[in-house]
Amino acid sequence: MSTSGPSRAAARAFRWLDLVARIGVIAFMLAPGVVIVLLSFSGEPGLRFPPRSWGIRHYRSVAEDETWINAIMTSIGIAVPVAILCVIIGVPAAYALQRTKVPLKGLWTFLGLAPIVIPAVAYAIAVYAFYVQAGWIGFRPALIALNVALAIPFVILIVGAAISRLPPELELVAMSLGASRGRAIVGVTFRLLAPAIMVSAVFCFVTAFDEATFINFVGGPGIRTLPKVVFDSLRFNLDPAITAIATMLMFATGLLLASAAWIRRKQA
Amino acid sequence: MTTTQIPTPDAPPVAAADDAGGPQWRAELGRRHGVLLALPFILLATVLVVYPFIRLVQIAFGGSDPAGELQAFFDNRANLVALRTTVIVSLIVTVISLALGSMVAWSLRTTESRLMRLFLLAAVTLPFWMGVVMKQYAWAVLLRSNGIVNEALASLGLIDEPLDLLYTRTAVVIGMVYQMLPYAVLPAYAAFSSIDLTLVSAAESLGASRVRALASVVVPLAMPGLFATATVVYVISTGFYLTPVILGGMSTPFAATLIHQNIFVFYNLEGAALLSVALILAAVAVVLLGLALVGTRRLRSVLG
Repeated sequence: MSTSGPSRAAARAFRWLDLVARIGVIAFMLAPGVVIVLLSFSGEPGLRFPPRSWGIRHYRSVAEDETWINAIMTSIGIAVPVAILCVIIGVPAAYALQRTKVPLKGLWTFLGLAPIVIPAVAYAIAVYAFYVQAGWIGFRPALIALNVALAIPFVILIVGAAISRLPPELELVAMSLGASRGRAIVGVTFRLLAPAIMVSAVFCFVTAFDEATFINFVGGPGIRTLPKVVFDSLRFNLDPAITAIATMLMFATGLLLASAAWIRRKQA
Repeated sequence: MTTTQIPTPDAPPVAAADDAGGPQWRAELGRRHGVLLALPFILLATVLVVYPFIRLVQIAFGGSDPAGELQAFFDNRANLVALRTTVIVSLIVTVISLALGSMVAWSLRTTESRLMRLFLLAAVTLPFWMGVVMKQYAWAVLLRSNGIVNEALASLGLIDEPLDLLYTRTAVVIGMVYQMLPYAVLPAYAAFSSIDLTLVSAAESLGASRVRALASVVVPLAMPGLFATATVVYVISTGFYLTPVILGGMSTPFAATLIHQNIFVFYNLEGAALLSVALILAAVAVVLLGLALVGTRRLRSVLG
């Protein structure tokens, strides 16, 4: 049976093929990141790989060019209020959807999560059509509101999952000890949810900072976030300075998401 | 903030008056408080999810001559070619992402080598750390005619002159698979985690080859999870904007590219709106077709 010659050879061939395929996928997934980091430390003006000399000229050209600094500040200026608003709006909603009898619960959950799944170009045109009518193209509060809608699914998912793991009796215990319902919610439930809320805020911040599709349509010429500036420059040439920005961004995002994962694991 | 403004009754019995006849202290808040807590979220979803699509349909079909415009839309071959390309490429991306994603997830589930595990986790995680525009930039650097892929192939003696990779459908497929694969790994891993690995050994000990054991034991068990993932990956793929525009270039026919041109070159919001509606319908239609082909019965039998 399985010890006979041909099937043994087939098994060995399969094992080799499997290993080659795994290494191939790993190389495919790591190549873009690794290449960008290496190129960012190239001492050459172009994008030759591997570089013949090393240096920090690309980082220097980012630091000297106000366009990049302004773009980063614009992006932060949008992503911070988005993260705060996502928490303020999303956490009570996640609580209501899990713990109370809101009518049409399924519909609201579906609509709230829809922005992750709806084909993004079509959604972007829909929002564009709405914002043109409202005169909100290039209007910063409208852009922030849109990004809240795009990021809030993370709060509903992450905080909602955390709420479903908390025994509802905890609030009753607090209330039987004399706390009001509000104090029980804030003092017990929300305190236990703090790690999940922080993790979801990080996700919202990263999502809004990174948003690159809708901004092209509704940002107008005035709001130039980092992804928008990079996108615009990509349509003309491949600016080597972008390797330096991409590398810094990769480390910053990695640090943020890794600490979020750490908080989450510590909680569980 | 909002939470402190809940009109909290001081005494629990008043809270119970909300729902006459119920027990005095309940684990659940009443309907009124729930609506109040969720209200900002409901408003947001209504204004920024529901209304934009009403507006989209209004613009797509609200002209003075809707029938004529629809006729013109279908007479324009560019629209149909773009929609077809988008659907086909999204299907290809879904199949490749799911196949590779399942492979990575299965390796993560079964590997005993810590090094392999580390590399697999890095491969799945790193794309999340890169900005979405940066991913397009990186693939443009890799795929352009004097880029790294071409130079590597040339130095290996595999090609004499650079391949046209950038600004082709292949580039779009590569870029999209790169972005969707991590999303395919996580649900596949969740589906595989619940599978008892001794089942595979059992099949092998009964004489099945490794491939046969995987195909007839693991795949059916993971099927419902994989099918749900495929649906999500496919629908998200149809909506890609940056990848077709940057890696596909302006001459590769994608719905996203045509929508981009309608807005920024021809200033034709109506055309863009019609194309968007058609894109959503195409995405939904393929999902329904897939459901019909796989058969809800079979899906249900797999679900038990």
